[in-house]
Amino acid sequence: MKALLRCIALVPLAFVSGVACATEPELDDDYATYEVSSDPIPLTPIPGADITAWTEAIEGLGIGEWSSSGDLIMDAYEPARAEPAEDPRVDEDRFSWTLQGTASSETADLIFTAKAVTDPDGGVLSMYCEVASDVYAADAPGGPVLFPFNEIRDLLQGCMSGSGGSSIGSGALSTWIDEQMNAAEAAYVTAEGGRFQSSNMVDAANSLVWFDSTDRQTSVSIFVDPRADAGDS
Amino acid sequence: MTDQDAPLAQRPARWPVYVVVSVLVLVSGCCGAYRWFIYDIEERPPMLTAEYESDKALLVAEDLAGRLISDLPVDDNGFSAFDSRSWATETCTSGWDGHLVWNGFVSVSVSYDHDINDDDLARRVEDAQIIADELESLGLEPTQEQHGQGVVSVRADRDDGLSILYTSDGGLRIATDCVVQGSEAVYTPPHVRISPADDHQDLEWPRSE
Repeated sequence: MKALLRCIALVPLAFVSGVACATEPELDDDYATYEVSSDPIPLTPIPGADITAWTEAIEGLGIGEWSSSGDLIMDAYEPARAEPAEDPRVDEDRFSWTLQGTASSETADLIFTAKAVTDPDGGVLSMYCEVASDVYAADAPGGPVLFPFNEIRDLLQGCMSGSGGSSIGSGALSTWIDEQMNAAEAAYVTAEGGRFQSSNMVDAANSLVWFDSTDRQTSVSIFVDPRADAGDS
Repeated sequence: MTDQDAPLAQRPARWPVYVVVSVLVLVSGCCGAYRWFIYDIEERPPMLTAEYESDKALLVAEDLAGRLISDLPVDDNGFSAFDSRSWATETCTSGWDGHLVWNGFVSVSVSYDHDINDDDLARRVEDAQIIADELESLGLEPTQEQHGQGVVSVRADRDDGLSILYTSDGGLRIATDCVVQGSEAVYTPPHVRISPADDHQDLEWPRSE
């Protein structure tokens, strides 16, 4: 009879063990946590860059309107696909400059975008110029070169003509863009189906200038190497 | 006339007790089986091995990535064998085939990927040994494997749930176990020179769009 009573007493326990299951992930008793040892890295202004000269040069192209002219960036985070982002832990104000417009060429409409970010002292943290095209290689596989390289070249050189950085002069920058556009055009000619990609970078005293070109868009961006020691530039 | 003299037919029947006990034993057995077999395999939530949320987990993973690749050789222009970086957020799932989705919990990863057009496999194999040595210096126990055709891999796990995988063909990937999904924006520049066009912080699986 005692065995019978024990058995009956165990039934509620078994029932409880059957239904008392966690409903969401819980912290394990043996959890471990590591602290972030690295300090946030602030963006450093491009030496000698002048936001006024840059905006005037872009306005000289006669394309588009400014959607932001020194507007405070409220969201500290921006994906770095287009330009370098700053660690939000730095917690310093940044200001955005953005212009977008459309330029027509014989073969395509070109969507031109110019972006810059400045700090509270007017220092230019990054400059970015992009030309996107609606020419798709699939429209002319193996056909003649329809991609408007010359128009893209002119827009990018015009956009960067007012960068004014002391680490890489505007003249040298224009020449460098010319070389990169030639390489991009060569990559386009040899690419199967016109799906090309061409990219390069020049390091001028830690001012990094990046060039990226695909069958969708071509861009040039300038900023100071975030991992370079401050003051080296 | 004593009780012992009573006829058997007048004793209380015990079969209802046996039925009740049998039912209870059956129920408890089913509950136990569910708790210890089906629940454990199919429905138990994953355990969290780290206290931090996904945003800080990304910075912790980047911290570790920095330690691992800081000693890798770079060329004259400051480039390593990595040509892209990705931060990815994946849904936290469990169960046999990951069919259980735990909302509010994610797994995040930091990846430094090799250039698929770079044919300098020997360099990337040498990098594997440097990374394995660094993992050992951090007190971890990396395992190395040969996969043929010069492809090697290095694996290690850290007690906060970070899993480290380096392959000479793919690159370095550091991923967390399930962690609480954070809402803070975080960013830190890549540890090696990578074009902004190849630096992705917004990859999500499944994609929200």
